[in-house]
Amino acid sequence: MMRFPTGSQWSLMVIIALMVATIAASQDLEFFASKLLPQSVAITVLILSIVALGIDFRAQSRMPEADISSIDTVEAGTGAEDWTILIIAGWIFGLALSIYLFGFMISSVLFVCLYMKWHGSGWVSSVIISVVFTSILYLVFNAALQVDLYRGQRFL
Amino acid sequence: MLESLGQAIGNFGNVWIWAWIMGGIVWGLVFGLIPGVGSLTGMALFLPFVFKLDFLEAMPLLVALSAVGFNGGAITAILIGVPGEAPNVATVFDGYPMTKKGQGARAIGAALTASITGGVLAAVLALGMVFAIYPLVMALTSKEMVFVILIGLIFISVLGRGAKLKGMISGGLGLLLSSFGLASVTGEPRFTFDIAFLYDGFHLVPFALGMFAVPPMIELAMKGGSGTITADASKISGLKDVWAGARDVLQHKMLWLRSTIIGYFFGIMPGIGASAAVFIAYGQAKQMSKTPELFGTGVVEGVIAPESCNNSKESGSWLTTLALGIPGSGTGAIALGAFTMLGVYPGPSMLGEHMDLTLTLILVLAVSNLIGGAMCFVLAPYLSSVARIPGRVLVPMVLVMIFAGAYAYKGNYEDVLVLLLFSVIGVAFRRFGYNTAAFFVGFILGGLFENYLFVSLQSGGVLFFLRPIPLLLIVSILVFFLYNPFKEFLKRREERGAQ
Repeated sequence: MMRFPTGSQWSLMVIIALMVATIAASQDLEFFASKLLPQSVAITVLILSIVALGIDFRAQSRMPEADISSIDTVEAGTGAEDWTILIIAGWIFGLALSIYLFGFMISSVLFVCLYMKWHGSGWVSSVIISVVFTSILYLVFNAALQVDLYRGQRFL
Repeated sequence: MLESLGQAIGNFGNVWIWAWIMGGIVWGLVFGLIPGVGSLTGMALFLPFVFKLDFLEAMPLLVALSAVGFNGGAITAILIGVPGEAPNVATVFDGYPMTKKGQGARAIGAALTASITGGVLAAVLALGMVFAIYPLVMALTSKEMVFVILIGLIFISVLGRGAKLKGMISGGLGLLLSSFGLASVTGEPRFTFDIAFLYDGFHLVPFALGMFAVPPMIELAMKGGSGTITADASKISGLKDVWAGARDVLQHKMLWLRSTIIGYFFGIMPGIGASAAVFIAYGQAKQMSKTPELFGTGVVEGVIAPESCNNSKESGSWLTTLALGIPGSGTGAIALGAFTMLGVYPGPSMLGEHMDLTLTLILVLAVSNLIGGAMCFVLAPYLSSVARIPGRVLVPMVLVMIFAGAYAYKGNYEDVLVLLLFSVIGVAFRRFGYNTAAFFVGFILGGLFENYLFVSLQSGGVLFFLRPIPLLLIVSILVFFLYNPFKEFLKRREERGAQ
C-alpha cells in the first residue's frame, strides 16, 4: 500500500529543502564571519531533519498495514479541523488585504462587525461594538501613542 | 551590591512605577482569566508599546503581568472548571470539585494564598541567589557565554513541548532566522534578496505576535465563535470562607513549602514548562498525603500544591532570564525580546552594569504577587465573568489589535506581512509538533551567540573552548544526550547476558 507522507514528514522535507538552499546561498557571502552562523546552523539542522525524517519513515514502515490506514484516517479525521483553520485563515488574510486597501479604521469596523454577525451576533450589537472598539483603537494608537495607523492604498 | 539594593528600593518611591505595576497586574489577570489566551499572549500584545516606554515603565508592567497571570487562571479553573492557563490544569482536578461541593470560596482562598506566598518566597530566594551567583556570572567571558547560550537553547529545545529532534530543529531555525539582514560582525547583507525591508532583519514585534498571539486566537476561534464559557460560575459565599482557604495553607505549611521549592528549582532550569512542574508538585502532594485516594474529589491540598508551584516557577525563571540571559519560560522569552528592544541585555552585562534594575525587577515580582493576590481576593466573583466574554467578540478585536500592534512598531505595512508569515509558521509549528519557544529564543539569542562565537574564535582560536567552564558545559551536553542511550545499551546487554 502506497504510504503518502504525513504532514509532519512534509514539513521536514520542506525544512531540508530550505537548509540546502541556505547552504547554497551562504556560499556567495564574502566574509567567513558572515558565513559562520548560517552555514554551521543550516548544516546541523539539515542533519537533524534528515535523521528525524528517517526515524519517522522507519516508524511508519514498521507499522502493520491496518495501523497505517488508521493513521491516514486520523490524518483525514482532522480534515474538518483543517477546513476550519482555512476558513479562519481566510478571515485573517481578508483583514490584512482590507487594511492594505482601506486602512485600519475602516477595516477594523468592517472586520469586527462582519465577524460577529457571521458568528451569530445581531446587527445592532455588531455595529455598536465594532464602532466603539475602533474608537478605542484610534484613541490608543493615534491619540495616545501618536502612531498614525495605516490609511490604506485607497486613501494614500 | 547593597548600594544597588538601596537604589532598587528607592525606585519604588516613584509613583509611576506603581501605576505600571498595577497596569501589568490588571492586564495579566484579564488575559490569565480568558481560557486559551493566557499571560503569554498578553505579553506579546504589549510588545508593540515597549519601544515607546523606558525601562522602568515597560519592564515592571511585563514582570507584573507574568507574575499574576496564573492567579486569574486559577479563578476560572476553580469556579468554572476551565483552566485559564495550561499550568492551572492541575488546579481543576480538586478546585472545581470543591466548588461543586459548595467550597469554591475556600478553594479560591487557598489558591490565592498559596500563589501569593509561593511567589513572594520564590522572589526572596531569587534575590538571595542573585547575590550568591553574582561572582560566578561576572566570571563568564564570551568563551563561556557561547556554551551557556548553547546549553540553554538545547534545554529549551529538548525539554519543551514536542519531540526532541523537532525541538532542536526549531531552535536551529530560530538561530538561522536571526542571521537575516546585515551581519552584526561584518555588516554584510545576508539573505536580503535585495529587499530594503530585510536589511534590518525580521522585526521582533510582528514575529512575536505571529508566533504567540495569533495561533491562540485561531484556536479560540476554532472552539466556536458563539462563546468561550457556557457553564455557570458558582457564587462565592462570603469572605469568611475565603479566609478559611487562607488558613488551610497555614495548616499545610510543609506541603506549601515543598511545592514552592519544586516550582522555584524547575523555574531556574530553562525549558521545563510550568505545566510539568505543576504536575510534579501535584503528584508529590498526592504521594505524601495521608489520604491520597481523596485527591481528585475536592481536597484543598490538591489546590495548594499546583498554585504555590506555578507562581514560584515564574519567579525562578526570571532569575535565569536576568542573570544569564536564558529565558526559563515562554514569558521569559518575550521579556528577553522586550529587554533587547530597550537596549538592555540580560546576563553578565546586566548584573554588572544594571544590578539596581535587576533587583528592582525581582522586587516587582514580590510586590506584584502581593498586590495581584490581594486584588483577586476582593474581585474574584467579578473577575470570573471576564472568562465568559464570547469568542465571537474577543477574537476579532484581539486580531485587529495584533495587526495594529505589528504595524505600529515601525510604521511599515511590511511588518503586517511578516506577521502573516509567522502566523502561518506558528500554526504549522503547533500542528506538526515543533517547539515555538525554542524557535523564538533561538531568534532572540542568535545575534548575541554569533557575536560571542566570533569574539571567542578571534581571541582563542578554534580551541577556545579549552577552559574549565566551557569544558564542563560540553561534558554536560554530552551527558545529557548520551545518558539515556547509554542506559538502554547497558540494559540490552544485561538482557542478552541473562538469555
